Amino acid sequence: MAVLAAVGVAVERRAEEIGALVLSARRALAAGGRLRIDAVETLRQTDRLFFDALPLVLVAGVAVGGVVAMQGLSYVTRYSAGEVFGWAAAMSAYRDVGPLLLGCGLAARIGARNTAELAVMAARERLDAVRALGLDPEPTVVWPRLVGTVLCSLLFWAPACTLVLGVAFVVASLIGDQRVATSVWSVVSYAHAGTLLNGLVRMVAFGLIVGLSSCHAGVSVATSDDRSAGAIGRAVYAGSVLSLAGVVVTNAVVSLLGGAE
Amino acid sequence: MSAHAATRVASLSDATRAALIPWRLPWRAFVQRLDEVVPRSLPLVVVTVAAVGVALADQAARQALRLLGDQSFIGPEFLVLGVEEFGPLVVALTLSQRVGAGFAAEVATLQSEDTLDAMALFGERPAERVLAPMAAALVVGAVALGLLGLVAWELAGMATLLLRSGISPFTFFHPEAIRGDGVALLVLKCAAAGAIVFATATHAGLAARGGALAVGRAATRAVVGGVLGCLLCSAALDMIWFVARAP
Amino acid sequence: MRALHVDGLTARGRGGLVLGPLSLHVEPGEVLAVVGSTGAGKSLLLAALAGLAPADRAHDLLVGMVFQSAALDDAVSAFDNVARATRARATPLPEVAARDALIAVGLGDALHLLPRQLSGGMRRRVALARALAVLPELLLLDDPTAGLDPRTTREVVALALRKGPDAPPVVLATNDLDGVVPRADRVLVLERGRAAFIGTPAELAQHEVARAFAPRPDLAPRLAEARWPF
Repeated sequence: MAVLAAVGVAVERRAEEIGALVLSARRALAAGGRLRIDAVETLRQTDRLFFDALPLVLVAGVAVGGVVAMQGLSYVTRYSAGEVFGWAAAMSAYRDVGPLLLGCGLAARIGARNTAELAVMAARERLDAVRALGLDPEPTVVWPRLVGTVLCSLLFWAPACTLVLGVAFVVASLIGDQRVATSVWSVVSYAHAGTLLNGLVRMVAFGLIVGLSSCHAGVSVATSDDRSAGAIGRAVYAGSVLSLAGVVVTNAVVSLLGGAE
Repeated sequence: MSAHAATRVASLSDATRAALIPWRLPWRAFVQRLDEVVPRSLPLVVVTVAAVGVALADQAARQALRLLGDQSFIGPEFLVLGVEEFGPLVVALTLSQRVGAGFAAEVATLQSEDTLDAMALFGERPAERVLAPMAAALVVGAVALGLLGLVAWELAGMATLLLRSGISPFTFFHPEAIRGDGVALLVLKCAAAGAIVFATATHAGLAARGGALAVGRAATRAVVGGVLGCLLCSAALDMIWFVARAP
Repeated sequence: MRALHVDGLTARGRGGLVLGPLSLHVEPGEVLAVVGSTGAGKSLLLAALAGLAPADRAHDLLVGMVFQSAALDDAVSAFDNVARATRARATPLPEVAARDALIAVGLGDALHLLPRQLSGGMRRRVALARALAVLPELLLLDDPTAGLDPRTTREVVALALRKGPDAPPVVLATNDLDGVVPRADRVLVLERGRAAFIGTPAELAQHEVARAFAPRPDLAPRLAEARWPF
């Protein structure tokens, strides 16, 4: 019985979180529909988040490129399939592994930053102070971060995934004797525009999930009795976990629905 | 290196030494930390590994059918991919976000409230009492989660291929595809991920000064450092393994 | 009980603050209050005396310290916070010493409560019990009454600054000129890490350095005329 009760509590808690996220998304969409988002603040947040995450995206891009290269090379070696290495690496870089691992990186960098900033603002009553000035904190403080997160995902997708592919080609040529020209030819011959569209849709979805999860976790400190330093840490942790789980589950759903190109 | 940075490095090396020497490790605290790392992270690890497994199994099946008209080789390849690549990588990323942020926030809270200084002053050896159990639990827990995650990975692949292509789990499952050095790579990657998550979380936590803002910043830095470190480590180990295996 | 004697103590804190060189002599049972504006180096001096700041340890006395934030481990009870220190310091009969210290500071009925279940004043008293239970040869108190109401301030000061033949030398950092400084035997005023004054509380009131803590005469008329809204 105790185990059942624990499972019930856990399910109830997850359901509450998902319900709160859906409500947040609905309010964000409604605010966007009425153009109630502070446009200047949104641009400012996008600029901050983009340049804040840029170093991580660059380093992560190099690392993911290495992972993609090694993953592809092991098959090239076993099946003598050097001809399709470039295409397979492009699929991984632009659609499957690239967006997924970059999404995890964005969940870490942008998600954790959003949560930490909003949680500190909530704990130090700065959100209440904004309200006391007659402003609604959601369109002025929260939604700009959410939209900024989605825009950053969108902006990062093409350059980051191209970096992943470039690194994969270079690593494969250095370690596995896979010529770069052959890899590029493989991409040109086999790749489809649908691959790019699929990857783009994933990145936008990841941005939305990371933005919603992180903002929700940060703002939820305002409704909690505990506003200590420990509560801030727990909020960052909750936001990170929610973002990560959201990214991988969304990735699976988009994969299952997306079909093959 | 500043004196404060040197103190942080000294704390980390003290903790590492204590974690490696069984008679210096506080076993009760280690068991408590292991409980935080393994059972409490397991649901998230299972969900993330299974979700990534479902996505990749589905894509592999689609592409195999389209290019070769044959899905029979997916089973062994999928298992090898889980053992050597995605199992440990997804577990590492999950640990960075699930445990790294939590441990960094805890150490940062202890640091910013002077509790670690107080413990040191009263002779309690905080590196041994607080940090060493974290280090040992993260390394041991990461390996355990890597092995459990592999089960989730294989089950997710089996379920996906059964539902979308009607391939029997018995046909899909090829344990003979796993090589001894592949399992060694999984264990090494997971253990390295645990060590990286510990080092980034503790380093970020020990650098925290100044209350709530510092705690939030430490948790963020730990997550970012952990994710980056695990990605780079995975890529580097892949390259070393590839070169070492080359005929 | 031995006296605290340090000569030419220097330390370096965060933000580039350099402390000293300072020379101090505090007799057993004597209370030295260290005052100064924020960032003057009060906490750094205490950290240096405790061996926690990067500085040469200037003495070999056994230190007990009450930190500004109480610095308790929230994961264990008040009793365990004290008992862990007495065990680590190998105090004779460590559990008994811990219990006696907590009872002495008036927390006999809160032994098994977690620190987060205690009020700010009670947490400070647990920290004081921990510092006293290890039978220190030097007691350091970093702003022990910060954020406390006047009544709790009086209680904490009375407990911390008890006199007696076996009392250790006490160095306390504070900015409480009314509640704490008059209870000290001598006062050290720090300015940017250096000693600007050392003498009795009565001498401090007469000294020009005391002006730093007095209301600013140039601001007084403006403050008197200030009207809402500013």
